[in-house]
Amino acid sequence: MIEADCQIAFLIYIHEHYTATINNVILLDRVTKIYGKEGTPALNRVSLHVEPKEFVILVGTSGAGKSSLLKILTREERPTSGKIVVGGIDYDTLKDKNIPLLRRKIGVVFQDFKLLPQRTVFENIAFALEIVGMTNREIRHTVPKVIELVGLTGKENKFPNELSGGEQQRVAIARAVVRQPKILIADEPTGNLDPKHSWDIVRLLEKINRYGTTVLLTTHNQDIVNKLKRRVITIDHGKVISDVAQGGYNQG
Amino acid sequence: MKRTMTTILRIFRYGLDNFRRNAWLTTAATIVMTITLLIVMVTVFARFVFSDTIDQVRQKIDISVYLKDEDTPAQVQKFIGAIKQVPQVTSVEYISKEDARNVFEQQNKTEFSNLQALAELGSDNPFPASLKVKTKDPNKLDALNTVINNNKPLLDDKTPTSYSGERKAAIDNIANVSQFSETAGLVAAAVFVVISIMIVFNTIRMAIFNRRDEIEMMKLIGAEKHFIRGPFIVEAAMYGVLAAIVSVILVYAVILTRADSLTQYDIVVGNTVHFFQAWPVLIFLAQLVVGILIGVFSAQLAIRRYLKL
Repeated sequence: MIEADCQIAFLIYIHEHYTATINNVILLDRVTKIYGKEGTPALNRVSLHVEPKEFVILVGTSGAGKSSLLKILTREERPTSGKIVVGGIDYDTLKDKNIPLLRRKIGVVFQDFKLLPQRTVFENIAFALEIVGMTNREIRHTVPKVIELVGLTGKENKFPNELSGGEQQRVAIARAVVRQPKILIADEPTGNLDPKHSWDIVRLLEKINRYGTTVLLTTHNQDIVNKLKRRVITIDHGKVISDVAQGGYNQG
Repeated sequence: MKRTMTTILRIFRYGLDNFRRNAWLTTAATIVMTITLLIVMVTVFARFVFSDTIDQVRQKIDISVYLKDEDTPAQVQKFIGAIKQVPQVTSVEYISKEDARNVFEQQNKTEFSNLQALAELGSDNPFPASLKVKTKDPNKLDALNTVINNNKPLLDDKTPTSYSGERKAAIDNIANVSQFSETAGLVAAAVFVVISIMIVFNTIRMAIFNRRDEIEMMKLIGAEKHFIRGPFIVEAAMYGVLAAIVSVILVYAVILTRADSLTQYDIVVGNTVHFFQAWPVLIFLAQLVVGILIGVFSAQLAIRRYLKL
């Protein structure tokens, strides 16, 4: 009975938000992920919603379920049960062939950058536009703007191995935002960087957030979590154990 | 529409980029593919040459039916008519006793002892009159033999019907050799096609393995499946294109520089050489199609197996 009520409330919530802001909202309703047939759930009935233009930090130790959560959001994994709506796309009705369309709505940044070593900065960023069929003219017009946004003007023709880790991560961020996604998922983007570069990246993410992109950041870096004073969601053993509006690393 | 074109062009560009980047693996795949195409072409070439040769030699074979001196012209005419009825027969020529003697004299111009022996006979002509029968296929003489046997009383007892014995043996030989080389060629071609498929398969498998990070990244930033797979297929097709170019150049190098000496051989290479000379574009296109098919097929196999999207 309570389950059903929750379901209805959730549907009403979706409906209310749908028209105006659903495009950049993340909604999870009792999402459970169990790997294999039986076993402890990596995610156990996780429900959360992220408002449009929010900056959310997701913390949790390794194996807490963060990675599973992100993989479910990018549809690399399917939940065992539960409902997910991201950027107006209901995952229950999402067909396999439309997964690329979902991924184009979400920008993703990885700890290991995932840049193409044989391509220049410009080409790496342009790549994200090439795969969606944008014309060369549009690409020549768009990419320099993003390069300027991430502060890499003048390094367009460098190859990734000629750049510092922080600069490489800026290229990755530029690639993620060049299509102007409503949601940006940054998975441990500072994991391989020294503190100074880490802060550069975090400031860049804040800047992107100010332009209206919802940012979901996962990090182990206590300093960043404590100083940012943003909403912090803590996951442990597959459950949300705290969700604080202006949180710190050790709170909740 | 424009976007689709842009996408297709990009898939080709990525494929070509990968083809260049993989230089070493590419070389191996291209060489094997070239050898395969050469073997396929030589097999076809040899088939043409042999069948031309056999046709030509077969036309030269004839059957001589020797007649009794007592046969009347009416009987002979009737016999000729009966032979002409046989569908396999292309022509019948009557050689009179005098003709036979003249032919002998011509053939033995330098054999003085033979001529002398002939001269000693005086006006007595030992050569029987004969019918020279040409057939389409010297291996299918059953109907003709029946006609000849039905007219046994007309035949010369001393000189049996001649099937140009040596020539027939030679023709059978050529036919056997051509049969054998055709089979051998087909087997070799099949073996090399399989080897090519395996090598290209492996090359693409390695390419997929080498670029797994790139594939992963493409997936995560929303590339569609055909956009990820396409370049691998283009890459494999390029091995075929390159191999076709190389093999055609090699074959034409041989044909253009050696055509004269080839046509001098006993076997009839001329027609085939002329065919190759007349249709270079057609032959190149045929090679191209075979090469591309092998490449695309192998790439599809490798992709299905190793490129999970």
